[in-house]
Amino acid sequence: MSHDAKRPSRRAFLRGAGNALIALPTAQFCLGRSGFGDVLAAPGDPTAPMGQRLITFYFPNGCQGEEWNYGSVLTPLADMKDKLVVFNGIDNPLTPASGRDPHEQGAAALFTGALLKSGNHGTGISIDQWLSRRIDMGTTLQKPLVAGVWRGYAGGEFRSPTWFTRSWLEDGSIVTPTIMPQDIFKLLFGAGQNQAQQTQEMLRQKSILDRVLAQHSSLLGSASPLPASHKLLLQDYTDRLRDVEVRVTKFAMASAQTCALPANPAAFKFDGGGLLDYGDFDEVFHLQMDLLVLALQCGVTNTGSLMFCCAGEEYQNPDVSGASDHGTSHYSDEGGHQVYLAYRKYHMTNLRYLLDKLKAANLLDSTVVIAGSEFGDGRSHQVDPQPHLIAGGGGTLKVGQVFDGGNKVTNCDIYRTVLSGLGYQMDSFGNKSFNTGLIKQILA
Amino acid sequence: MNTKQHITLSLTVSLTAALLSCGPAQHKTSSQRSAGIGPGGTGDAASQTNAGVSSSTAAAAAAAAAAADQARALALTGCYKDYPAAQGGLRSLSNDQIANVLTDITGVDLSTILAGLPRREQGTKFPNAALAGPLASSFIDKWADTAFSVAAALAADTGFIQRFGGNCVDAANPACVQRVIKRLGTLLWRRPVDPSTAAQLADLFKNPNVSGAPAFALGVRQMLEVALLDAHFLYRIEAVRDPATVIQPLDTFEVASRLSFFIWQSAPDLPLLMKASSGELADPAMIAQEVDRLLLDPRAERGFRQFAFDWLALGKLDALKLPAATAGTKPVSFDAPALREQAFSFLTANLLRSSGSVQKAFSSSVPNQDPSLVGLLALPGVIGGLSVADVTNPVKRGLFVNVRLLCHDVPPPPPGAGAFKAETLALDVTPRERLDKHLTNPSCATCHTTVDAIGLSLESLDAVGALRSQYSSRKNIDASGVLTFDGQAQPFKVTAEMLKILGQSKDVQTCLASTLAEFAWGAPPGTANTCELSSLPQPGAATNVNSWSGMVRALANTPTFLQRINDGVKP
Repeated sequence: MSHDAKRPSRRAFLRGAGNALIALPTAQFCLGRSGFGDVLAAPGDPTAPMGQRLITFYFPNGCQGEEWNYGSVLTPLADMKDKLVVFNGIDNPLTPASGRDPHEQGAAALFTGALLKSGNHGTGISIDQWLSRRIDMGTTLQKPLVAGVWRGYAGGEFRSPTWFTRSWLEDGSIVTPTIMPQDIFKLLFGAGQNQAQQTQEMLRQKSILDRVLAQHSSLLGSASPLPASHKLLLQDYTDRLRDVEVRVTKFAMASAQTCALPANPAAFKFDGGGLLDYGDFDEVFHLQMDLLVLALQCGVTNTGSLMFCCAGEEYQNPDVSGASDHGTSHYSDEGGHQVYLAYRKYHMTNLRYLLDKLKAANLLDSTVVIAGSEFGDGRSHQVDPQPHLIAGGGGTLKVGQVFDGGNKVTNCDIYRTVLSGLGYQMDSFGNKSFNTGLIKQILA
Repeated sequence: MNTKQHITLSLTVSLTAALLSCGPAQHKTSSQRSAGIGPGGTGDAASQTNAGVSSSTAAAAAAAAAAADQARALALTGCYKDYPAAQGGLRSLSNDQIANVLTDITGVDLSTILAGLPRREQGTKFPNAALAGPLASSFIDKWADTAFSVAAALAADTGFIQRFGGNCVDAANPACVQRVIKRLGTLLWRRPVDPSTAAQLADLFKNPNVSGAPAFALGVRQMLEVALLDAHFLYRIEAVRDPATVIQPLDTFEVASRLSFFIWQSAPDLPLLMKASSGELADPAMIAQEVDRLLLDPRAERGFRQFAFDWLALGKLDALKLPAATAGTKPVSFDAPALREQAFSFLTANLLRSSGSVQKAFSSSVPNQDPSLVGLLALPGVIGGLSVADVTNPVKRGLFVNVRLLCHDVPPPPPGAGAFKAETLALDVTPRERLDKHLTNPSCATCHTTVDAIGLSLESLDAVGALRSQYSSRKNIDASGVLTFDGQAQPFKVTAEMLKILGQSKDVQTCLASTLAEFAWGAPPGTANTCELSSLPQPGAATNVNSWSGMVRALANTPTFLQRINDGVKP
């Protein structure tokens, strides 16, 4: 899809509406959601025990340790350094003997600290899902907003979902990022009709879903004519439909109160192959970031996972270069090196956009944003050091520093320390043997 | 993928005619009544779909084929022992199948709504495959949303309401309500709606705030919502009838679905459901007859295209990026959809059509290609998908031929094996010189000896399959080698010669039969299936047997196709 004249107006909706929302006193704006169990304390109050939020942010194809600093790749974030912790020398304790591609393996270990099992399964829960279990029960969504842009093409192959998953459940099963802004909007805010219509429609949908669930209970009951393996999969389908039912019920209950919803975003389309065009990635990703910030503002959820590209994605952005992101990560000359750096900076500009939006919504200080990628050196696909940074800090982390782990501290330690700061003490996060201890230097 | 085709108007009309003619006043036999579908014009519906085929010839051929198939099926009962559990696993409809089913049943264009379903990983090569795990929750969120949108669109389509309600569109009239529930429910769930469920669905037509036509439309909308969200639509559920037995025969409705999803990538039509309802589908001769009817229907080409797309990985062509003319080379014009379409037409003419055969698909000359280059591998739409840039990748090509065309098992490279990056290497080294490294390292050589030899034999075809004699470095191309086909070492000097040998080999034909079995059964054949595979048409058999329809007919009567495993019982 080529860039067309309509593009700015598609975008304008959330930019404009978002700004209009922000102009409201935030406390009043979010008051309406108190019906959800009052999970959202006044935004910007980092001491409120329930005011916890967390976002994971993935960018593809890694970054070399020597470029992971404010003088190079992190230039777009340099004037926000007092809000950041930059990690160097983080050991991603993977062994090449795991037999999986370093893109796939490194990305799966990011935010989970765990290795892939065979097939499409990780071995553990990602930090966004872990925290969501504890802080999203009262929200409409009841889970993280998992969004991202991906085609799933790396090295010319359409890859398995392990390549485009950054959010994992306890049993290692995948949560594929939702792509389309219009779908995310519906997920977060319902159909976007007027409140009375929305209430009526949501109650109607609830009654339909109740019927389906009742039909399924006889299908899956003890007299079920289904073999065990079928039952298991259909039970999962039924559980997911129940999630939808819970969500529409909450919408119906909530719509008497108002969250001053913006208009539904214009629809994007998949290409003939059922995938998003690379030309739409930039715009869609920005809309996803807008929607996630709105969701946090409205208390629809407190957690999110953002993924820019599948691991190893052959993403190409003519505004950055004529070559592809993954292609140039294997660079062998200075020209390639410059393109590689330009793509890294592009990703950091996107992160900057998210941080600015959070800041404008008065949410940055009460949100932990963890950003990272699958491995260190793109040329050799070496997993160490795995680039990480934290922004915001949730008021419990000592931001404004650069921390060097000397290749002894692992990504598991970072996740465990973040959760410890938020008040969750545990012996380890992710794979036990990859934990070396809390990073006391970054705890406030 | 792009194989979706418009269903011809005549099809929609014939299905609709059958539905419309089964009014509530019509007499039905008891078995048909139990299915809730009437007998209206069955013969008409069937023969209309056979448009252009002489019915007497078709009937005679079908009878002969049916007799042969019945004999084969009888012979097979003795050879069958067990089959891989995956072949009995749960299947969900692929996105394309959802679109096919809804288009075929409703006759309404829902493509805009359905295009919003996110792409799912198939798990294995083919869409009939058993699910490896649960569907992603993001997919189910979107599916629920899509089901509500589809129901709303259909209920707002007066033509649709007219087709399924006829002149009986009164929400207060229980006969009208029951009729539309049975018609739509049976088609969408591919089996009869049991009376208690039908009675519950009738509640959805009782909406106190609306009356008249809108009340009926609202009832239909709500009934559709339930029907679409119920697992019986999204999944192909096959029940276990005797918990103590491992091998379970399918009932006739389940057989009907297996047939239609195999041949059409869609739900059974009304005539097929009626054969299931009457129990006739329990007879192998009737299965053979229905296979022939399904194959003559235009929807069979859609099913064939799905097979070709997945088998030959025709979607990979979209990943091929050719830079604008580089120094010293001619600019290459490259249009992925057109090349894919060309591949489809070649395969349709040389494999699907009655004049085609497996041999022809591998040995016919290819349009717009040098006449010396024969067989489907010479199609730019096929070979082009094995390049990612303007440089060929012999390892990819070798793997493709080994795995997809010869059914050889090639294990993944050992941990730490370096990657061959054709597009990043110096141009003055030929691929043959580069790949020699594989052969000096014993752990690489095990697999690469064969893989590389096949890849290098195709070097006379450039990244998009055009014939060439030199690399851009001006070095001459050496595509010669020796490869073993049908157990014999066969030397060749140039790519065209190798393609000719490949086209005549029995190995590719045997492999295609086994691949089609995977497509039909939903899981790759295992050792337990050897006996069944040997019952399929063999290489060198008469053209009419060793054809697409011959193979499909034979597969549709294999025990694995007609039974399922009950994994609750350990043998």
